[in-house]
Amino acid sequence: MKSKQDNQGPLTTPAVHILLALSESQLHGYGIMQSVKRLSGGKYALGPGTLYANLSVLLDKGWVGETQRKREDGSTRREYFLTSAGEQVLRAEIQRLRQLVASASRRPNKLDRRNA
Amino acid sequence: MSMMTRRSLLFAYRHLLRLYPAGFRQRFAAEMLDLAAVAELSEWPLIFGDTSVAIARSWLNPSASKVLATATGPDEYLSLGESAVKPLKLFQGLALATVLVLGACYISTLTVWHLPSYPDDRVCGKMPTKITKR
Repeated sequence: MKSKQDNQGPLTTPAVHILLALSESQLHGYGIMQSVKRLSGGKYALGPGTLYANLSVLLDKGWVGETQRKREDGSTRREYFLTSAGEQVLRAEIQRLRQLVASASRRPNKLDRRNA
Repeated sequence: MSMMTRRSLLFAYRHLLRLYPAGFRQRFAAEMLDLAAVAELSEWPLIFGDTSVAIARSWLNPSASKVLATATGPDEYLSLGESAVKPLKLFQGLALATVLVLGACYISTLTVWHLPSYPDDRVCGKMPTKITKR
């Protein structure tokens, strides 16, 4: 049986970062941006254009859900969370990346020989 | 960041967000503005740059809203198959480039820019209008 990830193909880097950020906790947009920056050690900065373009697709696919959270001042703020389908997709993507790294880690000897 | 600077940046950003397609704007613009309101000054180049690219992408390729967008950063990622250039896209690019070049040529003929016409008296001195044989 094919999983949703098989149909989707590899996820884009921003999508992986967003799903990873949401796997930690429920976050609002700015929280996702900050979380991505922190998780990547400051090497990857996600802009709002890329963030919301990806969130729009992730919401439509049902991998991310949204909820309204009431703030202290009475206003509401939209927050995003990872759904079970999104968690499944993220796990599959991590597995794919592991296989890629495992395959790449067998290559250094060949690359070293080529560079020599 | 001073209050005046923040207000100016938010004012410009609010107008930039108006350029999004209506559906996307209604869904996310208010939230994007909230996000920008709490951003630090150092984050504004990323906010403006990334949003501008995303707006252009949303208009040039509306079907891209159905696939996950790539970042504008150096490690952008395209899955196989996404990078194939189709003849229709090439034709559209050619048509767009032609329109841009023709537009630039038209603008250059207006009075805004005076291109020198040769022979120019100021450069070459007065040129004889007719060369006669002795």
